[in-house]
Amino acid sequence: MKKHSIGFLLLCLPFIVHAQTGQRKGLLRQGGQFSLGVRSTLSTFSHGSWNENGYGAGGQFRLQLTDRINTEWFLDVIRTDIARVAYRNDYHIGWSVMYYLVPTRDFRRPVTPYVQAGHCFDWTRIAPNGRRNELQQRGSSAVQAGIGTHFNITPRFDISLSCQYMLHLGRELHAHVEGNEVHIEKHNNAGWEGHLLINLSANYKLLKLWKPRNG
Amino acid sequence: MEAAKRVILLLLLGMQGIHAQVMPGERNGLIRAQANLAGGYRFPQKSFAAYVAADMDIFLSERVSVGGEIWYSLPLDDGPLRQNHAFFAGFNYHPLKQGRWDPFVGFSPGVALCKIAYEDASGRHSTPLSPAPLFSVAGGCNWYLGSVFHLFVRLRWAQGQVMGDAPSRTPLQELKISGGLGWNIYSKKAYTH
Repeated sequence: MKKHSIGFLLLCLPFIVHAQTGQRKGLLRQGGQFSLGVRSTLSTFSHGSWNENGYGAGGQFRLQLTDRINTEWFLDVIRTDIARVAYRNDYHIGWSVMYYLVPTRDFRRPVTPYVQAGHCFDWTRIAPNGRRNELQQRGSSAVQAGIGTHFNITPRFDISLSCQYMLHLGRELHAHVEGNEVHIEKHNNAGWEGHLLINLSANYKLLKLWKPRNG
Repeated sequence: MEAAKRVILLLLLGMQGIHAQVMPGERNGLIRAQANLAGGYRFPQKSFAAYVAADMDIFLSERVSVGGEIWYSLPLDDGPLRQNHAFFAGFNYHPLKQGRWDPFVGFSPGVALCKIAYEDASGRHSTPLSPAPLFSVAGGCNWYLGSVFHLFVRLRWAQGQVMGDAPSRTPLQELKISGGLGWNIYSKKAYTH
Protein backbone atom coordinates (compact mmCIF):
# COMPACT_ATOMS: atom_id res chain seq x y z
CA MET A 1 0.00 0.00 0.00
CA LYS A 2 2.88 2.28 0.94
CA LYS A 3 4.63 1.46 -2.38
CA HIS A 4 1.44 2.36 -4.25
CA SER A 5 1.29 5.71 -2.49
CA ILE A 6 4.92 6.49 -3.35
CA GLY A 7 4.33 5.45 -6.96
CA PHE A 8 1.24 7.65 -7.16
CA LEU A 9 3.17 10.61 -5.76
CA LEU A 10 5.99 10.04 -8.27
CA LEU A 11 3.43 9.98 -11.08
CA CYS A 12 2.01 13.27 -9.82
CA LEU A 13 5.43 14.91 -9.61
CA PRO A 14 5.64 15.99 -13.30
CA PHE A 15 2.22 17.64 -13.00
CA ILE A 16 3.27 19.49 -9.84
CA VAL A 17 6.52 20.67 -11.50
CA HIS A 18 4.61 21.65 -14.65
CA ALA A 19 2.08 23.58 -12.63
CA GLN A 20 4.91 25.53 -10.93
CA THR A 21 6.54 26.35 -14.25
CA GLY A 22 3.21 27.57 -15.56
CA GLN A 23 2.73 29.77 -12.51
CA ARG A 24 6.24 31.19 -12.94
CA LYS A 25 5.55 31.98 -16.58
CA GLY A 26 2.35 33.66 -15.49
CA LEU A 27 4.12 35.80 -12.91
CA LEU A 28 6.66 36.93 -15.48
CA ARG A 29 4.10 37.64 -18.20
CA GLN A 30 4.06 41.41 -17.58
CA GLY A 31 7.83 41.65 -17.13
CA GLY A 32 9.66 44.01 -19.47
CA GLN A 33 6.93 46.66 -19.75
CA PHE A 34 8.57 50.06 -20.18
CA SER A 35 6.50 53.16 -19.34
CA LEU A 36 7.29 56.82 -19.68
CA GLY A 37 5.61 59.44 -17.53
CA VAL A 38 5.44 62.93 -16.09
CA ARG A 39 4.87 63.81 -12.44
CA SER A 40 3.78 66.65 -10.20
CA THR A 41 4.72 66.63 -6.54
CA LEU A 42 3.22 68.37 -3.55
CA SER A 43 5.64 68.53 -0.63
CA THR A 44 4.09 68.97 2.81
CA PHE A 45 4.97 68.41 6.44
CA SER A 46 8.62 69.39 6.13
CA HIS A 47 10.68 69.13 9.32
CA GLY A 48 7.63 68.32 11.40
CA SER A 49 5.72 71.42 10.26
CA TRP A 50 2.69 71.71 7.98
CA ASN A 51 3.66 75.34 7.14
CA GLU A 52 6.28 74.54 4.51
CA ASN A 53 4.58 73.57 1.26
CA GLY A 54 6.22 73.12 -2.09
CA TYR A 55 5.36 72.29 -5.68
CA GLY A 56 7.48 70.06 -7.84
CA ALA A 57 7.62 68.84 -11.41
CA GLY A 58 9.56 66.09 -13.10
CA GLY A 59 9.63 62.96 -15.17
CA GLN A 60 9.94 59.24 -14.65
CA PHE A 61 10.11 55.90 -16.35
CA ARG A 62 8.96 52.51 -15.12
CA LEU A 63 10.39 49.11 -15.84
CA GLN A 64 8.18 46.23 -14.75
CA LEU A 65 10.01 43.08 -13.61
CA THR A 66 7.15 40.66 -12.89
CA ASP A 67 3.36 40.78 -12.75
CA ARG A 68 3.49 42.01 -9.16
CA ILE A 69 6.78 43.99 -9.10
CA ASN A 70 7.43 47.23 -10.92
CA THR A 71 10.26 49.76 -10.60
CA GLU A 72 10.02 53.54 -10.96
CA TRP A 73 13.01 55.79 -11.80
CA PHE A 74 12.39 59.49 -11.31
CA LEU A 75 13.89 62.94 -11.48
CA ASP A 76 12.15 65.99 -10.07
CA VAL A 77 12.60 69.51 -8.73
CA ILE A 78 10.63 70.78 -5.74
CA ARG A 79 10.51 74.41 -4.67
CA THR A 80 9.27 74.91 -1.10
CA ASP A 81 8.21 78.08 0.67
CA ILE A 82 9.65 78.51 4.19
CA ALA A 83 7.38 80.72 6.29
CA ARG A 84 7.11 83.33 3.47
CA VAL A 85 10.68 84.53 4.20
CA ALA A 86 12.92 81.89 2.61
CA TYR A 87 12.82 79.14 0.03
CA ARG A 88 14.22 75.69 -0.47
CA ASN A 89 15.00 73.87 -3.72
CA ASP A 90 15.26 70.09 -3.73
CA TYR A 91 16.58 68.22 -6.76
CA HIS A 92 15.79 64.49 -6.51
CA ILE A 93 17.03 61.61 -8.59
CA GLY A 94 16.06 58.16 -7.39
CA TRP A 95 14.12 54.95 -7.73
CA SER A 96 11.39 52.97 -6.02
CA VAL A 97 10.24 49.37 -6.13
CA MET A 98 6.47 48.93 -6.28
CA TYR A 99 4.67 45.78 -5.14
CA TYR A 100 1.10 45.39 -6.42
CA LEU A 101 -1.32 44.34 -3.69
CA VAL A 102 -3.72 42.68 -6.14
CA PRO A 103 -3.11 40.74 -9.37
CA THR A 104 -2.72 43.33 -12.12
CA ARG A 105 -4.75 41.37 -14.74
CA ASP A 106 -2.88 43.17 -17.51
CA PHE A 107 -3.94 46.49 -15.94
CA ARG A 108 -7.53 45.96 -17.04
CA ARG A 109 -8.74 46.60 -13.48
CA PRO A 110 -9.75 50.25 -13.01
CA VAL A 111 -7.58 50.49 -9.88
CA THR A 112 -4.28 48.78 -8.98
CA PRO A 113 -3.05 49.65 -5.46
CA TYR A 114 0.58 49.15 -4.45
CA VAL A 115 3.14 49.72 -1.71
CA GLN A 116 6.51 51.17 -2.62
CA ALA A 117 9.91 51.86 -1.13
CA GLY A 118 13.17 53.14 -2.54
CA HIS A 119 16.17 55.36 -2.40
CA CYS A 120 17.19 58.70 -3.86
CA PHE A 121 19.94 61.28 -3.98
CA ASP A 122 19.08 64.87 -3.20
CA TRP A 123 20.69 68.28 -3.68
CA THR A 124 19.22 70.94 -1.40
CA ARG A 125 19.62 74.72 -1.64
CA ILE A 126 18.18 77.12 0.94
CA ALA A 127 18.27 80.92 0.84
CA PRO A 128 16.32 83.83 2.30
CA ASN A 129 14.01 85.52 -0.22
CA GLY A 130 15.89 88.32 -1.96
CA ARG A 131 19.27 87.40 -0.43
CA ARG A 132 20.72 84.82 -2.77
CA ASN A 133 24.25 85.60 -1.54
CA GLU A 134 23.33 83.83 1.74
CA LEU A 135 22.46 80.61 -0.10
CA GLN A 136 23.61 77.36 1.52
CA GLN A 137 23.55 73.96 -0.14
CA ARG A 138 24.33 70.34 0.57
CA GLY A 139 23.95 66.88 -0.94
CA SER A 140 22.23 64.06 0.90
CA SER A 141 20.95 60.56 0.50
CA ALA A 142 17.37 59.63 1.26
CA VAL A 143 15.07 56.67 1.67
CA GLN A 144 11.37 56.81 0.93
CA ALA A 145 8.38 54.53 1.42
CA GLY A 146 4.66 54.83 0.92
CA ILE A 147 1.49 53.67 -0.76
CA GLY A 148 -0.14 54.46 -4.07
CA THR A 149 -2.53 53.35 -6.74
CA HIS A 150 -2.79 53.32 -10.51
CA PHE A 151 -6.04 54.51 -12.04
CA ASN A 152 -5.93 52.56 -15.30
CA ILE A 153 -7.63 54.77 -17.87
CA THR A 154 -6.72 52.22 -20.55
CA PRO A 155 -4.54 49.10 -20.08
CA ARG A 156 -1.56 51.11 -21.41
CA PHE A 157 -2.29 54.50 -19.85
CA ASP A 158 -2.62 55.24 -16.15
CA ILE A 159 -2.87 58.13 -13.75
CA SER A 160 -1.07 57.28 -10.50
CA LEU A 161 -1.46 58.87 -7.10
CA SER A 162 1.04 58.05 -4.37
CA CYS A 163 1.97 59.28 -0.93
CA GLN A 164 5.50 58.74 0.39
CA TYR A 165 7.54 59.87 3.36
CA MET A 166 11.09 60.74 2.34
CA LEU A 167 13.78 60.75 5.03
CA HIS A 168 17.05 62.54 4.23
CA LEU A 169 20.37 61.84 5.90
CA GLY A 170 23.08 64.45 5.30
CA ARG A 171 24.69 67.49 6.84
CA GLU A 172 22.17 69.41 8.91
CA LEU A 173 20.87 72.40 6.93
CA HIS A 174 17.86 74.44 7.92
CA ALA A 175 16.36 77.93 7.98
CA HIS A 176 16.02 79.39 11.44
CA VAL A 177 13.01 81.73 11.37
CA GLU A 178 12.14 84.23 14.10
CA GLY A 179 9.34 86.54 13.07
CA ASN A 180 10.45 88.10 9.78
CA GLU A 181 14.12 87.35 10.40
CA VAL A 182 15.70 84.27 8.88
CA HIS A 183 19.15 82.73 9.21
CA ILE A 184 20.35 79.76 7.20
CA GLU A 185 22.28 77.36 9.40
CA LYS A 186 24.54 74.60 8.18
CA HIS A 187 26.20 72.24 10.63
CA ASN A 188 28.91 69.65 10.15
CA ASN A 189 27.02 66.97 12.01
CA ALA A 190 24.66 64.68 10.17
CA GLY A 191 20.97 65.15 10.73
CA TRP A 192 17.73 63.45 9.80
CA GLU A 193 15.02 65.46 8.12
CA GLY A 194 11.99 64.44 6.13
CA HIS A 195 9.02 65.50 4.10
CA LEU A 196 5.73 64.02 3.01
CA LEU A 197 5.44 63.85 -0.77
CA ILE A 198 2.19 63.44 -2.67
CA ASN A 199 2.86 62.51 -6.29
CA LEU A 200 0.44 62.63 -9.19
CA SER A 201 1.75 61.14 -12.41
CA ALA A 202 0.57 60.14 -15.87
CA ASN A 203 2.26 57.14 -17.48
CA TYR A 204 2.07 55.38 -20.83
CA LYS A 205 3.36 51.86 -21.50
CA LEU A 206 5.47 52.44 -24.58
CA LEU A 207 7.03 49.07 -25.27
CA LYS A 208 7.92 45.62 -23.92
CA LEU A 209 11.67 45.27 -23.57
CA TRP A 210 11.75 41.49 -23.22
CA LYS A 211 9.47 38.49 -23.56
CA PRO A 212 8.86 35.97 -20.75
CA ARG A 213 11.19 32.97 -20.85
CA ASN A 214 9.73 29.65 -22.00
CA GLY A 215 9.95 26.63 -19.71
CA MET B 1 -23.00 96.09 -50.54
CA GLU B 2 -22.00 93.97 -53.54
CA ALA B 3 -18.50 93.61 -52.11
CA ALA B 4 -19.89 92.43 -48.77
CA LYS B 5 -22.05 89.83 -50.54
CA ARG B 6 -19.01 88.57 -52.44
CA VAL B 7 -16.96 88.29 -49.24
CA ILE B 8 -19.73 86.33 -47.51
CA LEU B 9 -20.08 84.07 -50.56
CA LEU B 10 -16.33 83.45 -50.64
CA LEU B 11 -16.29 82.67 -46.92
CA LEU B 12 -19.17 80.21 -47.35
CA LEU B 13 -17.42 78.56 -50.29
CA GLY B 14 -14.21 78.41 -48.24
CA MET B 15 -16.02 76.74 -45.37
CA GLN B 16 -17.64 74.32 -47.81
CA GLY B 17 -14.21 73.56 -49.29
CA ILE B 18 -12.69 72.91 -45.88
CA HIS B 19 -15.67 70.80 -44.84
CA ALA B 20 -15.34 68.73 -48.01
CA GLN B 21 -11.79 67.70 -47.07
CA VAL B 22 -11.13 64.08 -46.22
CA MET B 23 -11.70 63.42 -42.51
CA PRO B 24 -8.79 62.11 -40.47
CA GLY B 25 -8.90 58.33 -40.27
CA GLU B 26 -7.64 56.51 -37.20
CA ARG B 27 -6.08 58.90 -34.71
CA ASN B 28 -3.18 56.62 -33.83
CA GLY B 29 -0.14 58.37 -35.30
CA LEU B 30 -1.88 61.68 -35.94
CA ILE B 31 0.18 64.76 -35.12
CA ARG B 32 -1.59 68.07 -34.51
CA ALA B 33 0.00 71.44 -33.83
CA GLN B 34 -0.90 75.11 -33.51
CA ALA B 35 0.61 78.50 -32.78
CA ASN B 36 -1.64 81.39 -31.77
CA LEU B 37 -2.17 84.39 -29.60
CA ALA B 38 -3.63 83.33 -26.26
CA GLY B 39 -4.78 84.82 -22.99
CA GLY B 40 -4.88 84.16 -19.29
CA TYR B 41 -6.19 85.41 -15.98
CA ARG B 42 -3.88 85.50 -12.95
CA PHE B 43 -6.05 85.12 -9.86
CA PRO B 44 -3.66 86.31 -7.09
CA GLN B 45 -2.66 89.41 -9.11
CA LYS B 46 -6.22 89.89 -10.43
CA SER B 47 -4.84 90.71 -13.87
CA PHE B 48 -5.18 89.53 -17.46
CA ALA B 49 -2.23 88.18 -19.40
CA ALA B 50 -1.35 87.83 -23.08
CA TYR B 51 0.80 85.15 -24.68
CA VAL B 52 2.08 83.72 -27.89
CA ALA B 53 1.33 80.02 -27.37
CA ALA B 54 2.25 76.95 -29.39
CA ASP B 55 1.56 73.28 -28.77
CA MET B 56 1.91 69.91 -30.41
CA ASP B 57 0.19 66.56 -29.72
CA ILE B 58 1.21 63.15 -31.01
CA PHE B 59 -1.42 60.41 -30.73
CA LEU B 60 0.12 57.25 -29.24
CA SER B 61 -3.20 55.40 -29.59
CA GLU B 62 -6.80 56.23 -30.51
CA ARG B 63 -7.41 57.76 -27.08
CA VAL B 64 -4.06 58.88 -25.67
CA SER B 65 -1.79 61.64 -26.93
CA VAL B 66 1.51 63.01 -25.64
CA GLY B 67 2.37 66.64 -26.15
CA GLY B 68 4.06 69.82 -25.13
CA GLU B 69 3.21 73.53 -24.96
CA ILE B 70 5.23 76.74 -24.93
CA TRP B 71 3.74 80.00 -23.61
CA TYR B 72 5.69 83.21 -24.22
CA SER B 73 4.29 86.10 -22.18
CA LEU B 74 3.75 89.59 -23.56
CA PRO B 75 3.72 92.51 -21.08
CA LEU B 76 0.20 93.94 -20.69
CA ASP B 77 0.56 96.02 -17.54
CA ASP B 78 3.10 97.38 -15.08
CA GLY B 79 2.35 94.73 -12.43
CA PRO B 80 4.87 92.73 -10.39
CA LEU B 81 4.83 89.72 -12.74
CA ARG B 82 6.88 91.27 -15.54
CA GLN B 83 7.40 88.06 -17.48
CA ASN B 84 5.74 84.69 -17.01
CA HIS B 85 6.81 82.25 -19.71
CA ALA B 86 5.96 78.58 -19.33
CA PHE B 87 6.65 75.17 -20.76
CA PHE B 88 4.39 72.11 -20.23
CA ALA B 89 4.75 68.44 -21.17
CA GLY B 90 2.29 65.63 -20.54
CA PHE B 91 -0.53 63.40 -21.71
CA ASN B 92 -4.09 63.98 -22.89
CA TYR B 93 -6.96 61.50 -22.82
CA HIS B 94 -9.49 61.68 -25.67
CA PRO B 95 -12.70 59.81 -24.75
CA LEU B 96 -14.22 59.81 -28.29
CA LYS B 97 -12.77 57.74 -31.13
CA GLN B 98 -12.50 59.22 -34.64
CA GLY B 99 -15.18 61.68 -35.84
CA ARG B 100 -14.98 65.46 -36.02
CA TRP B 101 -15.42 66.10 -32.30
CA ASP B 102 -12.41 65.40 -30.11
CA PRO B 103 -12.85 66.52 -26.48
CA PHE B 104 -9.91 65.85 -24.18
CA VAL B 105 -8.58 66.22 -20.65
CA GLY B 106 -4.90 66.37 -19.83
CA PHE B 107 -2.29 66.37 -17.11
CA SER B 108 0.95 68.23 -17.90
CA PRO B 109 3.43 69.37 -15.26
CA GLY B 110 5.41 72.41 -16.32
CA VAL B 111 8.03 74.97 -15.51
CA ALA B 112 7.47 78.74 -15.45
CA LEU B 113 10.23 81.24 -16.11
CA CYS B 114 9.32 84.43 -14.28
CA LYS B 115 10.74 87.91 -13.90
CA ILE B 116 9.42 89.75 -10.84
CA ALA B 117 9.40 93.51 -10.34
CA TYR B 118 9.68 94.85 -6.77
CA GLU B 119 10.43 98.06 -4.94
CA ASP B 120 12.68 98.70 -1.99
CA ALA B 121 14.31 101.74 -0.40
CA SER B 122 16.77 102.07 -3.29
CA GLY B 123 14.09 102.08 -5.99
CA ARG B 124 12.35 99.71 -8.42
CA HIS B 125 14.14 96.51 -9.42
CA SER B 126 13.52 93.48 -11.56
CA THR B 127 14.78 89.96 -10.84
CA PRO B 128 16.46 87.81 -13.47
CA LEU B 129 14.34 85.03 -15.01
CA SER B 130 13.73 82.43 -12.32
CA PRO B 131 12.28 78.91 -12.81
CA ALA B 132 9.27 77.64 -10.86
CA PRO B 133 7.73 74.15 -11.12
CA LEU B 134 4.04 74.16 -12.05
CA PHE B 135 1.17 71.78 -11.37
CA SER B 136 -1.15 71.87 -14.34
CA VAL B 137 -4.29 70.25 -15.78
CA ALA B 138 -6.04 71.04 -19.05
CA GLY B 139 -9.27 70.40 -20.88
CA GLY B 140 -10.65 71.33 -24.25
CA CYS B 141 -11.94 70.20 -27.59
CA ASN B 142 -10.69 69.87 -31.17
CA TRP B 143 -13.09 69.96 -34.10
CA TYR B 144 -11.59 68.50 -37.27
CA LEU B 145 -12.56 70.51 -40.34
CA GLY B 146 -10.82 68.06 -42.60
CA SER B 147 -7.49 66.41 -43.18
CA VAL B 148 -5.47 69.63 -42.87
CA PHE B 149 -7.14 71.93 -40.35
CA HIS B 150 -8.95 71.76 -37.05
CA LEU B 151 -10.50 74.31 -34.72
CA PHE B 152 -9.62 74.02 -31.07
CA VAL B 153 -10.24 75.53 -27.67
CA ARG B 154 -8.14 74.71 -24.62
CA LEU B 155 -8.34 75.76 -20.97
CA ARG B 156 -5.34 75.19 -18.72
CA TRP B 157 -5.00 75.67 -14.98
CA ALA B 158 -1.41 76.29 -13.81
CA GLN B 159 -0.37 76.60 -10.18
CA GLY B 160 2.99 77.25 -8.55
CA GLN B 161 5.05 79.83 -6.69
CA VAL B 162 8.04 81.99 -7.54
CA MET B 163 10.68 82.60 -4.88
CA GLY B 164 14.29 83.61 -4.91
CA ASP B 165 15.57 87.01 -5.93
CA ALA B 166 12.49 89.02 -4.92
CA PRO B 167 12.04 89.78 -1.20
CA SER B 168 8.64 88.09 -1.13
CA ARG B 169 7.00 85.01 -2.60
CA THR B 170 4.81 85.45 -5.70
CA PRO B 171 1.98 82.91 -6.04
CA LEU B 172 1.08 81.69 -9.53
CA GLN B 173 -2.51 80.60 -10.08
CA GLU B 174 -3.61 81.14 -13.61
CA LEU B 175 -6.30 80.07 -16.04
CA LYS B 176 -4.79 80.05 -19.53
CA ILE B 177 -7.05 80.08 -22.55
CA SER B 178 -6.10 79.35 -26.13
CA GLY B 179 -8.19 78.74 -29.22
CA GLY B 180 -8.25 79.10 -32.96
CA LEU B 181 -7.15 77.23 -36.03
CA GLY B 182 -4.70 74.34 -35.80
CA TRP B 183 -2.93 72.06 -38.25
CA ASN B 184 -3.17 68.29 -38.68
CA ILE B 185 0.11 66.67 -39.62
CA TYR B 186 -0.30 63.01 -40.44
CA SER B 187 1.97 60.07 -39.96
CA LYS B 188 1.75 57.12 -42.35
CA LYS B 189 -0.49 55.20 -40.02
CA ALA B 190 -3.13 57.91 -39.94
CA TYR B 191 -3.53 57.75 -43.73
CA THR B 192 -4.91 54.21 -43.58
CA HIS B 193 -8.67 54.65 -43.30
